[in-house]
Amino acid sequence: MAHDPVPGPEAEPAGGSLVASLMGRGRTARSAGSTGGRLPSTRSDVVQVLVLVAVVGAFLAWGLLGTPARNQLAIDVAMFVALAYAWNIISGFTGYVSFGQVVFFGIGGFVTAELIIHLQVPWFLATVLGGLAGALLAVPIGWVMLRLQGIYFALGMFGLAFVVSLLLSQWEFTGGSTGLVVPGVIAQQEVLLGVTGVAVLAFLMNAFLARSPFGLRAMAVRDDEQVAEAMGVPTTRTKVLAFTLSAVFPALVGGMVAYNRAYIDTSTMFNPAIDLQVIVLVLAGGIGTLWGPLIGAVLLTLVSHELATALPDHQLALFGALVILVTIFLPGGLVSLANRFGWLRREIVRGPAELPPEDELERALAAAHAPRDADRPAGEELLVASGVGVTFGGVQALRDVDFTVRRGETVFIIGANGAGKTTLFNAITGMVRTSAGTISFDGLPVQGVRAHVLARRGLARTFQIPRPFGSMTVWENVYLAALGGRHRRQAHAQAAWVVQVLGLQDIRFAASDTLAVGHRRMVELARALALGPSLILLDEVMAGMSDDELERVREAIRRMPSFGVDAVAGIEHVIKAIVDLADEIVVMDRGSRIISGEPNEILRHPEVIRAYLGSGPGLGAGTTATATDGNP
Amino acid sequence: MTYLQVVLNGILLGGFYLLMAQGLNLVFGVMGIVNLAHGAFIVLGGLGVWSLHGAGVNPFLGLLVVTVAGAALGAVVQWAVIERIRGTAKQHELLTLMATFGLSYILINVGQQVWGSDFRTIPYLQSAVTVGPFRFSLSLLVGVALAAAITLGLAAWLTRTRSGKSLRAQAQNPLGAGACGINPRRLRLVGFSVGAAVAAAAGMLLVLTQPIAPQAATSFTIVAFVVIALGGLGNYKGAALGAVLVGVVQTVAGYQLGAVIQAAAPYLMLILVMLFRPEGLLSRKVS
Repeated sequence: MAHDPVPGPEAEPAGGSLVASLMGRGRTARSAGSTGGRLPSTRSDVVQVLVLVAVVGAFLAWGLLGTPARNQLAIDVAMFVALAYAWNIISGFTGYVSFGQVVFFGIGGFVTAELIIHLQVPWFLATVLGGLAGALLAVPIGWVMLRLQGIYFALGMFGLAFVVSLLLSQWEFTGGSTGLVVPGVIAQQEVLLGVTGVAVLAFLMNAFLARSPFGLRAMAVRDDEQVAEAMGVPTTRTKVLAFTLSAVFPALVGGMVAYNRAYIDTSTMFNPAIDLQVIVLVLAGGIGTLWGPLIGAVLLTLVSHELATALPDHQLALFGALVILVTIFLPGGLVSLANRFGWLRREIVRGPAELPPEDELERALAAAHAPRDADRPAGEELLVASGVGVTFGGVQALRDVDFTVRRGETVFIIGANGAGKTTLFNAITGMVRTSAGTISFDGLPVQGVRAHVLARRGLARTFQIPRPFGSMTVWENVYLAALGGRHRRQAHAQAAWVVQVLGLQDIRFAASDTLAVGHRRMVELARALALGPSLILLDEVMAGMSDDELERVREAIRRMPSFGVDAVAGIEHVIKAIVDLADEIVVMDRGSRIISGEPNEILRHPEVIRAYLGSGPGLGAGTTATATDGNP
Repeated sequence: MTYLQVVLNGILLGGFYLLMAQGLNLVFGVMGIVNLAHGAFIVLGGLGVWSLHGAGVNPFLGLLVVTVAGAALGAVVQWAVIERIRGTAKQHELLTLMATFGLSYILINVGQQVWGSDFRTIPYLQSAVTVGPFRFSLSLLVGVALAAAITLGLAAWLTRTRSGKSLRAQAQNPLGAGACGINPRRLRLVGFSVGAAVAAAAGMLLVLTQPIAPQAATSFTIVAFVVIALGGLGNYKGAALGAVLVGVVQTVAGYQLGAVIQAAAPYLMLILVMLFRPEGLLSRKVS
């Protein structure tokens, strides 16, 4: 699992999370045929709320009215539903699969128990305080642990839970190895109501995530963290918040369970099997979906209960076999079955059903976008890179490169493969570390500044190999970028404009991982534009496009100034497409800037012809405006 | 002098850990799978030898038997489960994690049905060897010697033979390996099978030196994972360093700070190393 945090110049897109592509499979299969101008299913929220109320009502009737044994089983079911939804927040939506959320279950349990034992706090209040304690601890733990990725995070959390459990078992506070007796009356029905309440809250939190800007940001982290940063998503804050949310519910439930059982010790409260069971439940139901955890938790908890009664000796093995069967035959979970019929799809963050007429949109937006810093003169230096050097191992990828972009300018960089063009962009956006030189944007240094801060300061980029957020629609990709620091309604208008200008109306509800390469590049461009940048860096956006698409991109570049874009810098191989756009062309070769000037002057320059276009007979600049260097 | 003795014991323990980790490393290297059932293979191998020993079979003969049995079991698992999991690389990673986790449940359960939950060890080679001022238990020395032999054999196989080289090619670039006429399916079968065989062999050496039981399987998986994560997943030389480090830190921590810290030490090391050198101790820094 080579999690390459910083791709080299021509690197493949960095791997996203483990979870990213488990979602939306049903949708993919369908939209592969038509590129998908289809509107998403618009189930009414009313129906979903009614279903929820009916389910909770039926569950409580079943649980409360039965025998004490039934009460107890119902508590277990509700507990696992709550734990499953909590886990789904960090692992399903945010993509950080954790094997150690049980640590918060245990902490909540012990804090609650101590409050009840020593301070005689009423149990309900005590559990709320236990939940708070879990949340408070989750912030520093998440801040540290979420630097790990993939399997490292998963097993790191497992290790953490183990260490915490081991250390607490030595401490008097937890009753050591003998455990704690929690005084209380047998109040299963009250506890059942409490745990069910937490489960409903956890469900609602997931519903909120499925459609809110915060949820969209979490999913962006899951799909491609590096791109999310570049699109203005404060990834660390997003992850830690999601982690904290997924810690609160286990802590609350842990407290209630402690009260319910009247006796707890570290080995039961920090039992890793709880986590493992939760993971299985969510996976079987459908990870990262809204209804999957509920279905998985209810069904499997009941099944597992039956197994435990019927075949106590083989319960583990049968459970294990069930997991294997799910992974082989139902990798998307039970929800994916329903998805085949179009039910229970992820709620799509919808764009406008009807886009307003283009000129109207443009007028509205132009009013909202008073050209940024109108008082500043064109020609002022916006981006200044001087003496920049970058080394990869022993390779000098960039050597003493100067690169300046002024307000009102459109600058293009050309050069053969390996000339260092993309590396220069990576250095400017803080994705590779420079070994020499300084870079400043809008008067402030960029080195050491996080990418999302730069993005919000007005520096946007596209990626050479398009990296759309695969589990989102085209609209969601664009809307997410437009959100960066904006009010929701404004972001909506911004995204609508971008979609319109780039001609993406017909594919705006298509899953972005099913797009053809030309469309993917359009989405790249759309996201960068939607950020509302002051300077936009375009890394070969025109490669692999049809003439039609090419013209649309060129048109968009021409119109950028009216929407607050002060300057454009691009890398391009399609020279004929940039000659009339560029104010200046910079030529790079083997890590150095060799020459620069006006387009026509550059294309006639003998050194450029030799180094870049080749020196064969008949390759004069005037006649070879279409030359490319074989880059795809 | 006792201190040095503790460190030396730690290094020997590291030899064990290396063997325990090799199979996991191989499977990860070839298939990108973290096999969460690895510890179960180890435990079942050890308990198998224990039973054979009870029936009067010499443990070294038992070693051969469980190694072959482990290889067969690994091949069956690969054919029946792992090979059938579909999906893109990312999906595959999570799904195989789940599947091997499920498998570990099954194997542990089977183990408990057959052997119960008692911890068992084989009283064999119990005498002590004195080397200069140091004393080592014979079983530990023999175990480490065997572990070294198996590790070296594995290394020789990977670097010298055609099938071993194919395996490394597959690990580095599956598509390229396929284009060179390497049959990836068969190779994965071989890889997983060898991984399971090595795990079973490690179990035999383990049962000579410490008591084991089916429910301890998970902790062996974790220790093995810590070892290869310290060295950088899939990095064979790094694993050796990681193993010695875990062994030494664990014995020294146990000697100085008590059993609790000793048990927690590998996890703490994992978390610390992952935070500061997520690509492993030996890997070249990428950028």
